[in-house]
Amino acid sequence: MKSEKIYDAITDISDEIIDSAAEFKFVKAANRHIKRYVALAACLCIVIAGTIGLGSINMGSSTSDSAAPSAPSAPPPTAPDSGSAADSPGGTGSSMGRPLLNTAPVLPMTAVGDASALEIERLIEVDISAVEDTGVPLSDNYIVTNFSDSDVTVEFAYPYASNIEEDGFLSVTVNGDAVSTDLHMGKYTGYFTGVAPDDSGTWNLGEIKTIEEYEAVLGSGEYMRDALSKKKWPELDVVVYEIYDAEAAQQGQSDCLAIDFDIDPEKTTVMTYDINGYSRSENHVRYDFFLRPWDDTDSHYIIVAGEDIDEMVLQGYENGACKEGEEIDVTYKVERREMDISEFIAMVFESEVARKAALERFWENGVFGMLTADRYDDGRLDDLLWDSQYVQRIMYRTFTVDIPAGESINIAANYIHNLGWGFMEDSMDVSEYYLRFSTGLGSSLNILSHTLSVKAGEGVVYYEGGLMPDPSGRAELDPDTEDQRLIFKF
Amino acid sequence: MEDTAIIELYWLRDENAVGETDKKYGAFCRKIASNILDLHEDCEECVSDTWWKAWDTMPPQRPQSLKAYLGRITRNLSISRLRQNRAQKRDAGATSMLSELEDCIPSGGGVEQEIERGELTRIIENWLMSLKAEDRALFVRRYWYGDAVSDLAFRLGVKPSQLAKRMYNLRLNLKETLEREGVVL
Repeated sequence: MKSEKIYDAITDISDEIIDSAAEFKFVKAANRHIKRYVALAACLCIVIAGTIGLGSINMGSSTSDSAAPSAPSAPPPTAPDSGSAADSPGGTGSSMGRPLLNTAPVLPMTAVGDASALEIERLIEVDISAVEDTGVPLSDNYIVTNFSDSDVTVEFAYPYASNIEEDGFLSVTVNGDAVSTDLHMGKYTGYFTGVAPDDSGTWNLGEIKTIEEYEAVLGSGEYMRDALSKKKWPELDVVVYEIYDAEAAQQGQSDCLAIDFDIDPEKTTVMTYDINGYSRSENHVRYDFFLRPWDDTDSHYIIVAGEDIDEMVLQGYENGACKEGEEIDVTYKVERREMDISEFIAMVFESEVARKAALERFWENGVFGMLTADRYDDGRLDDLLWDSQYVQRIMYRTFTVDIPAGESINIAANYIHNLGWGFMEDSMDVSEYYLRFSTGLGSSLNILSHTLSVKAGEGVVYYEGGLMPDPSGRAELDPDTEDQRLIFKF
Repeated sequence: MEDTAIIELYWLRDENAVGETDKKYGAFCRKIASNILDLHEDCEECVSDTWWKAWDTMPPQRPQSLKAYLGRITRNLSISRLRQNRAQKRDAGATSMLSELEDCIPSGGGVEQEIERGELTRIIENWLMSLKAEDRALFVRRYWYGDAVSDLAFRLGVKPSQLAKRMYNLRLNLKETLEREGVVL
């Protein structure tokens, strides 16, 4: 194949290019310290067509080139970076040599209110023969019996670890029939870390790994109560400048468009979205972005809170250095709109749950948040908004079921659960996959037994340090032990 | 362990070199192999063979970048394995990455002689160096390291569809360069 010739040639490119690509930081972290100021603004919208060459836009409402239409919550839980803590034996003594890809435990169902009349038997069915990417289909079944003398109505909550962007949940069934569920999104389960072991900064994200860390998040029940509560975030008036249809008159390799303006940092906070570069000299700031002529829907945003920008100057340059003497002609359009920050977030994300996650992140750890993270304090919303979609959370699916006195029902939660992956200490070559199971974490239900049923293809070998299914694929879990693991290789 | 110390172990013929290499670069090489090969056992064999190849070649080699050196061995072994598998019709493998690279194939038709691998590498290197740093990193991360488009999109803070479009244009740009250089594959 001809493409393989290109592949071979790419294989031989120089070490310098290979290493520099690995070290390249896609995110320019500008370290700004702009104080907070919340603006009040009326509805006004200006559309300005860009000009060839240098363009100057006066942002005073009456002098534009063309007039146009139109309390933060608690911080995420913190936990020490456990390093290899997830390696430690759990429950039955199952262990991994060196987990490279961690996975959350399969958590037990719980109830929102009183469920003391119920006794439950649990059967977790997992099909590891159907592994796709790094996930396997899992059905968490509960035979729920009402031993009381009266009918009960119970609201159940089924928890599972996921993120907004890759929610693998499929369905909840009651006696085989799918029921509608409400989705409640828990907070980020992880924490912020510094860039070195003794750095107390909040630049990086850390994920919880050990069962003790999960216990710290879920054990008190506060996490679920918060997830199920209705939240109302503050309002923040912002002016959004959308810059779009930017195009160089003559396309070069690194064309960029710079946006210059002055601000009083005591009165104005600037945030950006899809802007590459930033520099500041006293009260003068410059943002820039690379022109992407192949993407005609590409928009770039300057979001201003507080006192608006007086005058904005846009100028094209040959490259991101934006040096005098390297100016180029660029056409562009700018649209100015006044809105609440939640409306801007709605411009980025279509789904309501995605918007909620983004807004929560904004008010908790953004520049206006209670605990502004170093990671986000430059006002670059790209990181904050996309983190909100990809960080792990515990999601809850709630549903209400009537259970007549003396009767049993079968509830099943069906979803794709990620596999963990690593390899054993005594082996250099053999990769091991694993699943973790919790029997009681965060659950108020009286679950009497937990049985695992594994469907595996031929050639699957279980690691004897973990759960060992019998020839029929079944294994009993110890109800009093958390973090029991099924470790296997294909 | 520092790369220089690992390389020193190879030169001293100390068998701990392999274990230390696996500890530091095992996951890296497995990822490269798994981006090319569908079959798990093939990936593992390629990674094992990478260690043996490293053992056989150091000395005399003393690579400037151990990571790039090992990754390059794994890439070569993986594509060789893929060719064997295809001949035996047992693994489609690497369909995504290789099919994307088809966009770079210059339209031939002339009487020119097929280009040598080394010369093609030189042209691609020159083309990469002509790109802005971000595009160069994106291309190398996708087609040398085999990073998924979705992962790169996350790093950039853009939607995967946006990045896919950008990668497509980079491939077309490379194709134009190869055509301009008169490359025939």
